[in-house]
Amino acid sequence: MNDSWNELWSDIADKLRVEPERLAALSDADKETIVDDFLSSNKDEIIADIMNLWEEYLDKVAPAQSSDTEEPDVDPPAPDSIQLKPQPEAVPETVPVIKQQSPPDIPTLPMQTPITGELMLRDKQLILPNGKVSQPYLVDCDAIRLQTNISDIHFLDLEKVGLKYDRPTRRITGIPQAAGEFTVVMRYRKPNKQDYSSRKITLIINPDPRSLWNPIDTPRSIEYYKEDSDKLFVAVEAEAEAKKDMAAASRRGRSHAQEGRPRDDDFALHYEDGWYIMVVADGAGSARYSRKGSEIACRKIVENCREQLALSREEFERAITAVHEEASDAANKAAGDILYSILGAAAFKAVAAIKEEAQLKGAALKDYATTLLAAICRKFSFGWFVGSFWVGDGGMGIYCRETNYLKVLGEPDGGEFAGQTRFLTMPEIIEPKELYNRLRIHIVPDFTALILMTDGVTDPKFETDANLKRIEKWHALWDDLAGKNDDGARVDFTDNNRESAPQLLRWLDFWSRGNHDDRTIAILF
Amino acid sequence: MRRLPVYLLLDTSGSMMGEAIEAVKNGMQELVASLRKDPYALETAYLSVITFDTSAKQIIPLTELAAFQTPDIKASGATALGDALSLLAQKIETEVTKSSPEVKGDWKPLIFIMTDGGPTDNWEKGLKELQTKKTGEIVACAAGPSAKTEVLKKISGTVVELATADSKSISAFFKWISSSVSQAGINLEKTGADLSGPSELPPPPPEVNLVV
Repeated sequence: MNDSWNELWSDIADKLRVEPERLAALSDADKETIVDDFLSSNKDEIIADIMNLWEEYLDKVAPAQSSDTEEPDVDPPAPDSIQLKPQPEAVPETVPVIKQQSPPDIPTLPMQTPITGELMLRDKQLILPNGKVSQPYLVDCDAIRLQTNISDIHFLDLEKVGLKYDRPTRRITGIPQAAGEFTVVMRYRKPNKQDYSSRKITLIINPDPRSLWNPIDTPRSIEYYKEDSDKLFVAVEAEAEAKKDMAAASRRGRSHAQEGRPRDDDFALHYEDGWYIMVVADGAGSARYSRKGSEIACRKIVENCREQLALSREEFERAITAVHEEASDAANKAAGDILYSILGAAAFKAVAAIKEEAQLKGAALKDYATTLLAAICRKFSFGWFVGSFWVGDGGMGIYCRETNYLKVLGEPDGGEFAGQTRFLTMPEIIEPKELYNRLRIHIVPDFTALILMTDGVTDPKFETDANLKRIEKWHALWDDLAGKNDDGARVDFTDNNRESAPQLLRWLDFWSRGNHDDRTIAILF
Repeated sequence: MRRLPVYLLLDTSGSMMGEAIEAVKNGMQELVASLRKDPYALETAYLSVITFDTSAKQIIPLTELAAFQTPDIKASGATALGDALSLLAQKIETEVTKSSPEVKGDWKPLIFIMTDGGPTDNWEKGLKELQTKKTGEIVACAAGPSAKTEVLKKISGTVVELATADSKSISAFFKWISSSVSQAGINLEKTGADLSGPSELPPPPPEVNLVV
């Protein structure tokens, strides 16, 4: 019996008005029975009482937490208005008997949902649910008592795990501090026996998976070395008609980092003469040189688009204006054909460049397999033009928050089993018809952002292809980017914010269970 | 999140009594302990245990690795491998989520079968039912000289053989399962594709011989 238990006991003895002479005659076991009965028959009142006690206690140890501290004489607020109760049920049942002295140990209500469960008997083995480091543990041991008729349960060695057994509530509570397999001993009395019996129980505390990811820098000596992360901001001054800026960031996935393998994703941004060029690419993890494939693809798309735009820019801009003015199939076809000669041809030439590299290396084209999402845009007096090309998974869309507008610029290539994607380097992709079908043209009055992402971002943030078409998911992504997340990461999409690239890189480090692929995102805003 | 389902089909027939069954129990414990240290497995692997003797029973439904508790198993009775395969087929149908545009499905389940004798029931029927389901790698382990490798070869592309069903070999097999599951995690992340061939398994340890 410890101090806190004794305090609880004296409170209850008071309430029950147990006469002093009777009090003295009671054994510990009797007291426990009385407390049990009392607790179970007066639960609601007790909760209210305990809330009061708890509150007084809080006032005592942590006056700063109360806004009433300047007027210590006012009545404590009624239990209903107590501020600290995101989990009002849990507070009275678990907390009041733990009367710690030091303020830091005040059970600040756990942010993480506790692991709950009960001590069970299975195949004559006692079983405790597995815990997890840093996650509150709340396990009921009452069922076993009722089931087996044993009494006076308590545990040895729980403290070494960071847990304790709370006798009045018959619960194991606490927050485990270390991972491993621990042996704890349960002590109890069988019916009508004075001696204690003991049973060993294995208690498994799982590590927090986050603590198991240990990044290893990619060795600089590997072929086609690439930095483990990259970022870029392209400011576009208001000199021209356009003034949206571009930011991109790319980060190696935890699964690659764990093994010291390189980042396979890549991106490229370019602005020239009013034209924005944006590319992201995800090198296939199974292809040994895919990091080079994605790099060449991004670089070549920019190079080839620049070259071709230099030749056909005016013609293209006239065609786009015609699309806006005429909105006819013929105008669309004319603009589409020019886009094909710019972006389609750029994709084709990118494959040729990869092929050349593969031959130099004596490797196969498929060793450089990569996805590709590319967009070229320009501001016109009547709105924004976006032309795009997309092979493989990931996502690309024009998003306007104010008008609830979303245009996904193609279809992600997921097979029957998502994840079986297609790559730029597959021979069928550069067939003219196939290339053409993957092009999109679009004119919108304005937008909040044009976003290109590899699947390292779309998998955790959108989960399914169907969700990629849901505006709510894009709203959520935009809120998330703006700071609505657990990591406190925030990207400021204000004009000329050079910090947006490092902010984006930091944001990319978000945590998502089971999603640890390379992540790349490029945003025009 | 896409889960990686792992099914263990374990022979608990009478012939496994003694050292073999204890070794299987320890093996499972070691398997789980080592997978817990692998962040990818800890986040994505889900384990189920199906035992078969006179009939098959799923003693642990598909359970998150973090919550997995090693079951107690005992050896007795015949070797109803066919029943185990039928039950596995049913469980894959009900426990493994299929991909659709609306739902991100699980990875194809990895299946490990371990037996020390010949099936005593109609295993072809069970196999037929299993073949209607989409599965990933199936690894069958013939533990000891009485196991029927020719039957296992019909079930699985990868059959491994333990010369004896003693604790050392069985432990080695479970270690191999552990590295296979870890490797599977890496491969899934790496390729984004489902497992297809035995080439993606780690090389078997010396105690385990690959049957060709």
